[in-house]
Amino acid sequence: MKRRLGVLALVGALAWSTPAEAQQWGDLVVTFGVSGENYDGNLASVTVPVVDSANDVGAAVGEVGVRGSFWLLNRTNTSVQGSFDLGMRQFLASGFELRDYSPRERSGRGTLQLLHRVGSLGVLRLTGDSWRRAIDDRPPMPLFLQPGYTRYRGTGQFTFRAVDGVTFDLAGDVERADYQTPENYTQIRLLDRDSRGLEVGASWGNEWHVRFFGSFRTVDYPNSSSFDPADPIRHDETLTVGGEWRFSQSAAFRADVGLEGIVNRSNSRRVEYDAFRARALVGVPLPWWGLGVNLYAVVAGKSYVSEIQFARLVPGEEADNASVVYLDLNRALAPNLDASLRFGYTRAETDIGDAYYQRYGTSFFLNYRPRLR
Amino acid sequence: MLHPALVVLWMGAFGVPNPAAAQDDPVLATYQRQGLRYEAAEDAYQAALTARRVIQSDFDAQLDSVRIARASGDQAAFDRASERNMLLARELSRADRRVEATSDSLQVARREYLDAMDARVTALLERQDSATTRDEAQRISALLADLRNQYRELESSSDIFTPQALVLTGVLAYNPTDTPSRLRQKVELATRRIEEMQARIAEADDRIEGIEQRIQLARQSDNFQSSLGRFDDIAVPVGAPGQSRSQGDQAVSDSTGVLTEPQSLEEQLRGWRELRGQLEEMLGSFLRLREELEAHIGADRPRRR
Repeated sequence: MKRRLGVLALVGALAWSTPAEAQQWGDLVVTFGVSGENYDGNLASVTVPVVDSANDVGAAVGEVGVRGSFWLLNRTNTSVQGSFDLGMRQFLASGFELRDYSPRERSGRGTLQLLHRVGSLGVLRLTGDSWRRAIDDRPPMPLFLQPGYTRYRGTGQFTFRAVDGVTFDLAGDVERADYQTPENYTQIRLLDRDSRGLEVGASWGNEWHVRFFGSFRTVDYPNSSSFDPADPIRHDETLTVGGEWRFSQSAAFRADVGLEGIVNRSNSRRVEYDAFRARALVGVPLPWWGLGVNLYAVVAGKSYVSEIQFARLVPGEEADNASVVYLDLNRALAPNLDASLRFGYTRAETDIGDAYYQRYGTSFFLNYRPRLR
Repeated sequence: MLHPALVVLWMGAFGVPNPAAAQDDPVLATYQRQGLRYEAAEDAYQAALTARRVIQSDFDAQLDSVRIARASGDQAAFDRASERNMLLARELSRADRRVEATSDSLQVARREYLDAMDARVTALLERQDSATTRDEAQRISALLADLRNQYRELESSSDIFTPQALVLTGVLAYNPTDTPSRLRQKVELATRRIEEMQARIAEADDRIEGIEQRIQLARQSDNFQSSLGRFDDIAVPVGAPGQSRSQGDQAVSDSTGVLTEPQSLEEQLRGWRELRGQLEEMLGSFLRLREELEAHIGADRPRRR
């Protein structure tokens, strides 16, 4: 609580000491949504406190969110921008054997970012992020919801001046994640972690912006055992190499495609793996009635170094592979009001017992921007 | 406010005040203060107008660069020239606003100065009425005559506030010494400038439409990503939950240095809209100019291209 008040005080002090003309809103969006969801599968999770024999459940969902950004300082060489994203989602689940659950998710994110041009050398970016996520009445599988947590991250990044059209960047970050522990159930604390990462990247291109990067990260899981008496606390080291291609210079479409390979090594043989992840985000306006389409797809696959017989997994972290696809059909109803119809599909699997869980959903959203006229 | 004609009538009828007594006269003090304010406001207006003319001149030169780049077929050079033209349009709009603001201040100062002059005339007439010597009456009469001239001069200066003063048409402007042949050349030149303006407006419209579509596309993409990320719906089982892949959006650098933030689409849209407004204004002035030139040619009009 004290820490949260400290952050608020810092933001308040910055806002107070900044001349009014330097402060300005970037964006403010209020979102309302309703969804119908279906979940099925037999994948178990160690982080869910209750187990239900149902393999096929449904849920009606309502959600509300607000996000925005604002400039605390906006000068030629220095800018400070704050942003936030708050949301609440209420489920009315049905189909479980034990009882009908009504989980409620609350999420919040706050970011403060400083950009400063350092002479002709480049740009320094310092970012402080905090996330908080809470769940009441968390249901059993297969209605998987990510567990609640509080997460903080500080990032320092330097983007160097372009040389022959190529821009290099170097970044370091530290992160801490504390997971919410339901009463009498401590398994979820296995996910608590402290991590440190270093990333270098090179990018070029105007129309198609291309970036290749490599990162190294060390992660300590203070509540997770390595099962090695000599080094009992789990400690992972992760090497990631990837590239991304981004196109946003045209009215005809925008695209963001990424591919990366991950090598994770640990003092716990159970979680040593090689993995890949491919993702694509594409937006295209359609020629009819002002409609547009967005597509997001991600596919991840994992290959464990050692055979494991541990059947209870964490779908958000330890399933063997997963696919996520979302498609939305959108249209502006007014200059400050957008509507979208979204279809979603998620599937996660593990080789152990061919366990899986999957989710289908259809949602309708209204996004209102009160500051636009 | 006392009409100047009445001032003249009153002047003939009354005597002269004591000038030494005027030193402590609050009406005189107000008149002097308003006079200084008016001069300051006029200086500010003239400075803003001069600055605006300089920017207009740059803007016109840049329009020529855009034309040359387009003729050369070099798309990159054309884009650069258009971009520079758009930035100058924004500067021009800012200069316009500055001219408007100083013009407003000048009008207020002018009105207040006229009021102060009016009050001064009234006070002088009262003093003339109570003048005890012929010399005193004559001195007041001279002051009133000077005031009358100032008043008329200031009233007739109102034409400086008309917007035509802001639009430059250079050598194309009608000159009474123009021969019919020279007038026809001017009409042809004005027609070419009109076609150029129309082409630039069409280009600006294309750009504006394109940027509006990009804004819409970006907005829908933002909505989409936000609804996916808010509740971790797109987390996949590689790495720890919620952990992002890279360091987020990279600052974009250009060939001249590193930008803290690239110019947003909204800023680009504002710039192109302002450029379009400037071009519309210029088009209007060239159309009016051509009409005026054609009117002077009379029935012997050249065929328009």
